[in-house]
Amino acid sequence: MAQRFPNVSDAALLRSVYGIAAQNMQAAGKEMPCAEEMFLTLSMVDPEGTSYRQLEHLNNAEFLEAAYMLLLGRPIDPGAKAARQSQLDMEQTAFRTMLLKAILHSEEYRMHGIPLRDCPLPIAENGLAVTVNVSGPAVPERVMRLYHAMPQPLKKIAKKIAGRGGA
Amino acid sequence: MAKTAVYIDLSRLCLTTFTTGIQRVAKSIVLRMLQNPDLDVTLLAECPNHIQWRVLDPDAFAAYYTEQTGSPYGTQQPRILSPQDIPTFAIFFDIDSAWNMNMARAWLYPLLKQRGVTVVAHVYDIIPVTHPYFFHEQTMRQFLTWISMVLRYADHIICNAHATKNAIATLCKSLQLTPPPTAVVPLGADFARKTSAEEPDRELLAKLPKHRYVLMVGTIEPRKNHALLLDAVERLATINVRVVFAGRIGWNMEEFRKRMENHPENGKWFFFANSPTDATIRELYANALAVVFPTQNEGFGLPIVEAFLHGTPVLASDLPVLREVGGSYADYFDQTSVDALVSAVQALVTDPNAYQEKRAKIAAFTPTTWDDCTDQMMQALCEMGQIQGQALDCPIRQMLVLSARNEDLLRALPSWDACMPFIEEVLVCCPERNVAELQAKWQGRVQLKFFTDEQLLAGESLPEDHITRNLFLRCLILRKAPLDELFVMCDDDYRPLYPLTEEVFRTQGRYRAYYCYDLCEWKGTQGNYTSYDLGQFRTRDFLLGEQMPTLQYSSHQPQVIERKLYCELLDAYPGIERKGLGEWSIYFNYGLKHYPQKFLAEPYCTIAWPGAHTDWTLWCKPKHYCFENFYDVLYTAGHVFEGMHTEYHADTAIAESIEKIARWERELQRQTVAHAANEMAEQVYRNLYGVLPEYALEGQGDALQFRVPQIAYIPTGTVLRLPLAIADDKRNGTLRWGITDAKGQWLVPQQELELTAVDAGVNPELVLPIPAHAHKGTLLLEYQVGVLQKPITAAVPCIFCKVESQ
Repeated sequence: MAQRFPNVSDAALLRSVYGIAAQNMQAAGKEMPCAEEMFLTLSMVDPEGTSYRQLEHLNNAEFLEAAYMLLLGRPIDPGAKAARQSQLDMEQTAFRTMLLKAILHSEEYRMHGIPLRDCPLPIAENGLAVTVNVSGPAVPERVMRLYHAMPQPLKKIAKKIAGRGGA
Repeated sequence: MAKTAVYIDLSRLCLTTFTTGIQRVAKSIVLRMLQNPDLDVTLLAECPNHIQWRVLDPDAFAAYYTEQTGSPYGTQQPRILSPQDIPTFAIFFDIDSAWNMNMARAWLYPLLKQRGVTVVAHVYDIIPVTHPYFFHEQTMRQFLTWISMVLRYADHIICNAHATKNAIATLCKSLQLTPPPTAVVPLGADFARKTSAEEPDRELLAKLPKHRYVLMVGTIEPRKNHALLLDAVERLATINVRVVFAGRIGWNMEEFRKRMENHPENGKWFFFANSPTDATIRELYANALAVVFPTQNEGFGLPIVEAFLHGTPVLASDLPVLREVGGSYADYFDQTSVDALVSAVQALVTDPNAYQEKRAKIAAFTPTTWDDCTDQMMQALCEMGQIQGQALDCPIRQMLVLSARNEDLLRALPSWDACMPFIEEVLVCCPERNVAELQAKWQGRVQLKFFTDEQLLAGESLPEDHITRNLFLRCLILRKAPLDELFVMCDDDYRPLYPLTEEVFRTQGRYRAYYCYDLCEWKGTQGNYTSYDLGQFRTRDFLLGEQMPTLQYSSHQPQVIERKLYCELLDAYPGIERKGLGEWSIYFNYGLKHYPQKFLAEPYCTIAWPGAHTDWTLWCKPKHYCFENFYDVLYTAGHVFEGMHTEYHADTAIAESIEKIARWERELQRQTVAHAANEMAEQVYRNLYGVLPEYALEGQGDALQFRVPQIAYIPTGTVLRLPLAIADDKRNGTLRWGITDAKGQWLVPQQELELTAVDAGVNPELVLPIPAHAHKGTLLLEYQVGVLQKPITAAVPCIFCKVESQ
């Protein structure tokens, strides 16, 4: 979509205002509690859709806060934050997959969550990858049906045989 | 004159269980605005989905905040309102603490401005920018985002002190921005006093001799600088003055709370009234030696005015904003110095006569009332030009038509003659050679007048491009032709469907402005842009550059124009007539930006625009139909108006129009159902896989690949348009797509699109006309960068869903 008010972008203005606040903070001998990139990520809430790319560069702690803001449209509640505190040192992909699964399959998200786009993580409830890159012929429908009917261990083997991230 | 429509989001006020300064202000002003007969106020509270509001019942709201009965939300089933439902002539007034709201202003404000709604923000202060360390991280972050959006999108700002206005100006200077026009309206202070019979805290009051204590009222938070007064307790005790804090403990004050509790003079020379009742506060104010207000920064300083209302002297920080509020009634001291504070208190106790004189002076203090404050706020809006201006009320009697083909004009004239009885004259701009035939063949009621191309051009060359020529000619006509102050601009193929009144062009003192799209969303004919598309893109860029709304008004139907206003636009942008812009969109968006009260922007009301429903995806749907955008081809075999008259026949016209509308609606319905089915399929996919089904071409260099859904649920019998996300720098190849059936035969023939940098910023769409009989298939995608390179491919199994509608 074309940039509205092209003389200055929303992001550029947000960065500048953040910069001024950071200077004022520094003048008082203090530091901004939130890094600029994180501030920018949390500021750009679009209730019509969030791209995973907005979140991917964040560390686990930032990811946790940003995921609530950008997917549920609200800051993380202290209870959820405390509950996730011990998991923050998990490996990135595992942590994000677990967190996104919890958020995306929650009742709150189903009721009024913000659609997530461009997510490469396997967050489907049934354990399948979200997206699949296919080069070559399509996977026949009957194979897909067969795959869906498989127990989990067999699915893993099938994935290996297929040699792709998805089905 | 029509009432001024004002929409106010009070989500935070409705949620808040305790009263803060902002909520008190919002409540006081809104209750008065509800009683103002010149305003049509709509109160809103956000829905859990963050993209809509519930409309509050104003009576229930007023009852809750004046009589403390019921709920601010009311008990009736609420009406749900989207930002797109706010009329363009309305003012969206953010007076509550909007930065705390779930409906992000970074999303909302651009949406409102795109349509031309006036956004007014009440900025109480910008302390989270100037002194961010006084705030909780989340509050500070949300405020920085909000104030950025205010500076960028708000049409006007209202603040309560010149000090705040100056701070905004300084911030804008640092940002190299021009601040929005800002009005200063001091707050009222005649808060209604509760008449409850609650008893004050007698035990506390008994320990506080009259005029021998200083009082600090308000939430205990770092910015208020309670620490300074606590540091002074022992020294004030030496002059027989006690210290009283009245308020509740705020954010980040746990340590300070312990310090207060453990203070050696606690209960002797220092007292803390935690969350006191109104009755206790009244008594504390009335008997205090002085109210101390050592705040580090403020937006207004309501406690100063409240102290004066109790006849109590004030010692306040020496800040410009507090001097503005306290004037010569208050005394000021350096808020960083305990010595300065102690000296100021000492001055009050050492000279009893001077002290009494001070109290006598304060007794004459008259605060601004909330009525005054509300009136001034409304007046400020008027002075900003937002409430002024309405449509001319002269008759609409003239129509202006550009026509090159007599045949088209002669076929349209009878419908104008019969269905638009208020039109007395049609001014035809055409080549000289057309005039004689028109004069000879037209014998109807409407008078034809002519202004020929030759008269118009007077030797000037005519631009070749269709869109550029249209605007150029219309500009010349506006300057030279004998036009009424108010006229209907039309093309020779726009026809009324049935008898109309002037109401179709002007209602309740406003011109109706019919839009059909948002130019920022306009995709055009991908890969092969027409002159029309390029004109729309140019118009979009012009409007964005001038910070105007961006709706597209080339709705292919007649629209009313105020000549003077169009000329004002031409004068404001010299040379614009040769820039090839959309002549409808520049006029209406200019008008909506500068005179929003004159216009009522609403969806277009014409059938056969677009000529076929599959030409482009509708951005907005007409609510009713008044006109037809005439296309010969639609009357031929196999098309929607097959078998109907192309000429106007008085005896059958209305019956045919009804049938035309029904047929057109049916076509539209089919598309709407298919569209809904597609959205439902997306929702099903989202529930299954957590994300929306998406098509993208991404990656670096050779690693470029498609990202596609695992499965595509596709409605049959429709034209599906799947957007394909692709980075601008990857647009240098050929994209092919199609759907094969189970046997590998093309079910939807393969299509091809050359992607070039020209298309940058607009994602291509995979246009797929899906046959009604589609059963099983596979969507095949291919992208080839060079002839010799192996194409990148992807395949998506398709499940077709039958869509039927009547």
